[in-house]
Amino acid sequence: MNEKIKYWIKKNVPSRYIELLFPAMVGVTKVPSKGATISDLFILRMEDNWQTFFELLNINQIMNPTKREIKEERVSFLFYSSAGEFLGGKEIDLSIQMKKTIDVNHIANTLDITKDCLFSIFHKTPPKWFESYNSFLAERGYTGYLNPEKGNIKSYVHGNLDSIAINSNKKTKLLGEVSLRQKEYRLQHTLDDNKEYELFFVNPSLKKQAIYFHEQRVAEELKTQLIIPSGGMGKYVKPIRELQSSSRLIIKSKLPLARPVVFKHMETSFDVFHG
Amino acid sequence: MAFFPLASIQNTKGYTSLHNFSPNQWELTDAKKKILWAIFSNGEKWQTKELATLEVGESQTYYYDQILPLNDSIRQPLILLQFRKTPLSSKLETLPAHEFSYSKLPEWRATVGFQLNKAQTSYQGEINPFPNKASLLTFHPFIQYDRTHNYLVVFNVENSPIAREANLEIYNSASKELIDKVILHNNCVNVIALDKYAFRPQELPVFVSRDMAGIPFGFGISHANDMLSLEHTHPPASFVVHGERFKVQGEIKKRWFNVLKEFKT
Repeated sequence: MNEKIKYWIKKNVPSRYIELLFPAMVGVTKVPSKGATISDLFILRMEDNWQTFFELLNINQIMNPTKREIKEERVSFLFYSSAGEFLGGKEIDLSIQMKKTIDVNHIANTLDITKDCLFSIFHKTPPKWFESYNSFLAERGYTGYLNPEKGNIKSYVHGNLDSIAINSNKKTKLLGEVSLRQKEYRLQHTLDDNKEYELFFVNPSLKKQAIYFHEQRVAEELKTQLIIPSGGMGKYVKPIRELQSSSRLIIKSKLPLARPVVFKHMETSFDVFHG
Repeated sequence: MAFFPLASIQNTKGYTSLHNFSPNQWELTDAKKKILWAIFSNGEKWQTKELATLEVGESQTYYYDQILPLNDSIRQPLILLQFRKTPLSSKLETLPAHEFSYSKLPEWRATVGFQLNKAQTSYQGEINPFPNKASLLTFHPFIQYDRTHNYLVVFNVENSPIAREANLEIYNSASKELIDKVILHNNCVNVIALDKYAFRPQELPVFVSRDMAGIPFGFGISHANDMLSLEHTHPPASFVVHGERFKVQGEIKKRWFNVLKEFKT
């Protein structure tokens, strides 16, 4: 189908109607209003000695490399609790350079944030030339996690969902769609018994979501449930089990793509990746 | 649908865990027994090897050195794993077509990982062959500056098994200074050590290949060999969503290729 027709349908027809007619056509996120900029909802870990960093890039220079001078770029970091409540924001200068490693814990501390939560990043002066392609700037960059008690270098993961937008009136809007029918997200990653896993889920939709976990083993199935408020996050923990086997996880919810950020803990290290 | 890569990087042990179950319940896929094959290029032909049969719901892990020896040569073939119904000839001129239906949201993926001592790192991945006319532009924003050996890794696959090479140009994205040129090999795992370039924390290296595409990764090994770090580096299209984003990607690539051309020598 022509890209322009697809875009028109995505922008103008509610995804639930499309799904009703075509069950295999599922919208994951909404298209925001013209001129908006987009961000993922990134996970900030600061409890239990976790440190979170973000590799902030000079988007204007990347989009327009012919400019000889690198100009200062300003971005807003906005923070949300795990219940989806707005906690505060801070503007940051990306001084005249291509990249700056941001200590997100430090910014959060200045806002008296002490718990794990979510943050978004909005570029204040995004380039405009790609608006003619009906496209939007989206910050889905790299978050680095460090915890000296668990490993001695950082593990990085990129943003993977256009979760939230801010418009020219500085109003934010969650972009996540909700499916008509319950969807299963079957994690194609085996969970080893001798390792602990923490799986973080973000709810980018306008409604609270119930998430059902089915951890399947050879002889049993463990079932649990989590309610994640709109714009919030939740965590599923698979503890170390004194067995020499593994399990697989099925995640049921009305989120069209309930893909977790997985922290896998090993004896001398940890690894962060998208499930 | 894609192949599943199995790679070896430096002194780590590469593994890939394959899963014979769909990542969702609502797309039409083939819930059937699947035969797993390994396919790799010797520079002239695709060579094949039958590995195992996976029942519905089953997962299996294969290590690189179960299929190919680890060697010190520059060409370290990327092994492609494929689920099949029908057998393959021992040698092929082109990559075989896929025989099953797979999901799209998300893509049906394998766990592609590396292990060193007690540390593991992985990503959920698949790979499709690139056209041999394709190009590559990527930035590496997450080089680590403390206790880490850093590498750029590029996986390439093309339909043809015939060996060929292309340049990978490394630039400073701010000054546009050409820092180095290295060789990429098709159908291989290309590993480029980065620490010798002494990039500073505020610098953003940009990597350009005008004659070969690939999936690029930033890979880190802790100096103590007790932790690994892996993530793929973004193409420019990742900065935009919706609309005709791949045309935007084409435009960004064109701008970078043009501006770097001035600094190429």
